[in-house]
Amino acid sequence: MNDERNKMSDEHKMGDEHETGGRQDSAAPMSDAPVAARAAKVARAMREETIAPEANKENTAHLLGEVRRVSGVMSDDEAKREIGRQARRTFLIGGAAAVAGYAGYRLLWAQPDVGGVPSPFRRAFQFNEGLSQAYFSPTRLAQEFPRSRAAEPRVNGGEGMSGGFDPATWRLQVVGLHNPPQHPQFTDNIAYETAMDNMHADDESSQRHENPEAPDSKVAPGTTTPDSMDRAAAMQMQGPGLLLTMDDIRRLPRVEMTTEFKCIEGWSTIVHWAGARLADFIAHYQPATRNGTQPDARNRPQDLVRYVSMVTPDGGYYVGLDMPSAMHLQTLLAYEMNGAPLNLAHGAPLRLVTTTKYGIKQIKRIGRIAFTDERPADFWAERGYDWYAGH
Amino acid sequence: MAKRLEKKHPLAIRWLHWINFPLLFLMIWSGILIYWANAVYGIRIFGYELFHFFPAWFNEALGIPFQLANGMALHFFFMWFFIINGIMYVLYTIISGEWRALVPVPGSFKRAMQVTLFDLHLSKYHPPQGKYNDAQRIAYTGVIFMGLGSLLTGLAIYKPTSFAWLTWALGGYEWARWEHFWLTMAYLGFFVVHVGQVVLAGWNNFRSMITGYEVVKADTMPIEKTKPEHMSPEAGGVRA
Repeated sequence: MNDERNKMSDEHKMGDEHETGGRQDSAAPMSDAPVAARAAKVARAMREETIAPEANKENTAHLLGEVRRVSGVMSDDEAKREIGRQARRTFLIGGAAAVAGYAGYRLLWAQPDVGGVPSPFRRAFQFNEGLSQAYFSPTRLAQEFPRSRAAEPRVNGGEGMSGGFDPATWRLQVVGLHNPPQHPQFTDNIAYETAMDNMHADDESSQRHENPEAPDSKVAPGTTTPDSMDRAAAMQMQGPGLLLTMDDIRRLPRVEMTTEFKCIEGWSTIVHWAGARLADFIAHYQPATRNGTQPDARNRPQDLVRYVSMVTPDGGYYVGLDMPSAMHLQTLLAYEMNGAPLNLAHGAPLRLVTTTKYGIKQIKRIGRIAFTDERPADFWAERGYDWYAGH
Repeated sequence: MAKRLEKKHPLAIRWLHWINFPLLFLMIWSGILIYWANAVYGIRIFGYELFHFFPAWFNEALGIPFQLANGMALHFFFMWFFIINGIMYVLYTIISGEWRALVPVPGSFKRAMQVTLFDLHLSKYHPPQGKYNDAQRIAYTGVIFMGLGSLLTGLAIYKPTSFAWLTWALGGYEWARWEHFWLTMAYLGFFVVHVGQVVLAGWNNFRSMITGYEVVKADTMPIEKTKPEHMSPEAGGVRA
């Protein structure tokens, strides 16, 4: 056996120190104890690690010049001892790593909630958002389809769709504009009379969910939280701004598109929409700029305030959009679906439709549009979902 | 009987393999939480559904319902670690030369069939192999491409407008989601076979994925017979 080992002593010696680590390089003199001698011998055998090509031509290993790395020769007992030593060391390291990994995972979940999700996950959403924004372009379009493939999308969730709503008395409140008095629809006080006064009285009829599997992990579907009722009160907004009618929206260029409506739950439906591009709306009703200068939405959209907030008339549902998504060519203020005016269930008289976001952002029955430089509140982002939710 | 310790699995591959295990588990688990919100896939034959993904008892038992938000939070957090780990594995196998033992070679498909028949006890012939047999070569290379497939189909459903060309190339949004789902099922199939084979191969083999070493008989190594030119010290070293 010694012969065999000597024969290989001219083979290359692997310097893979930490791999086979812990070897007794300062081995005790052979004469001391048999244990030490044996350990030294095994250590030498391990050091003699040899790289050799597969010689067997039958073997597939020779085809690509695979190599095998083997130690020097040991007795059964020595091999058993050495592999045991290696196993103790590596199983301990592995076990410690597993425990540390599990503790780290628990620690993630133990972090304080931000919008219904532990902060590390919220930060991951925001990190992903940063990358998406960097790549985003308002002219990079989603696929469009033949109109013949259009179908009716599912009605999913009733937040913000209080009963007693009358589209005829509806007005669109717009705030956050640059120099709003320049528009004829300007008013000192955008609060207006509608049938909304009793809107919360008969919530039950309209808060019905066709789909009981609403994408809500924190709140039972169909409930209106105290939070959103407070918002409804706040929604009786006083102050200057514009009050627009559907005629004002229809005066903007009419655009049609047949696109895929994608719900965050995972289903999708191809729908034909008609409406005004939000980009055209923004170009006509120019938002304020970040530095107060004259806006030029078409040519310098980056100067505008960074967000758009949209809220239902009862304040029960609200979404925030980033300005680039709002300016996307497939982002519409839609008033027709599949060739007919929107019905109440699908958001009459005016809803948002965009290929840049999941359905949760495509708010129905828009009551107010606010341009703002502060990231707007978003119904589902407060309930554990990604604020950006962008495509 | 004289023995040697064969260095089978480099340190990096052991770490990357074992780190991948919980990461893939978390990706699949969070994926199931997401899938639940629109659980439309099943195995159908002639319009009759043999199995639905997933049965109610399965969802109930594992507490899957109403966790879409948690599922997305997990999925879009751990995807980065899963991707980075996968890229590091591929880079390592390329740089270290380990790819030689892992990729299919001419004749691999035939020998993989022979290995399969042998493993199923339908044949007594086991074809020659290198560190891995040819069924392993195909499986271990295939699973890397499955990972790439999951990455691409995932991106296609995560950002279908920004990467509209990719979504289109994969057959559209709904096909991409279907593909993403079935790739996941394929991982589970891989996992079942993989663990089964590890159990059958025994402790010495399993232990080598932890320690790196497998105990082999000294005389099974024909190492002193040949030493090609490029391996010799004169040719500038032996690291393949």
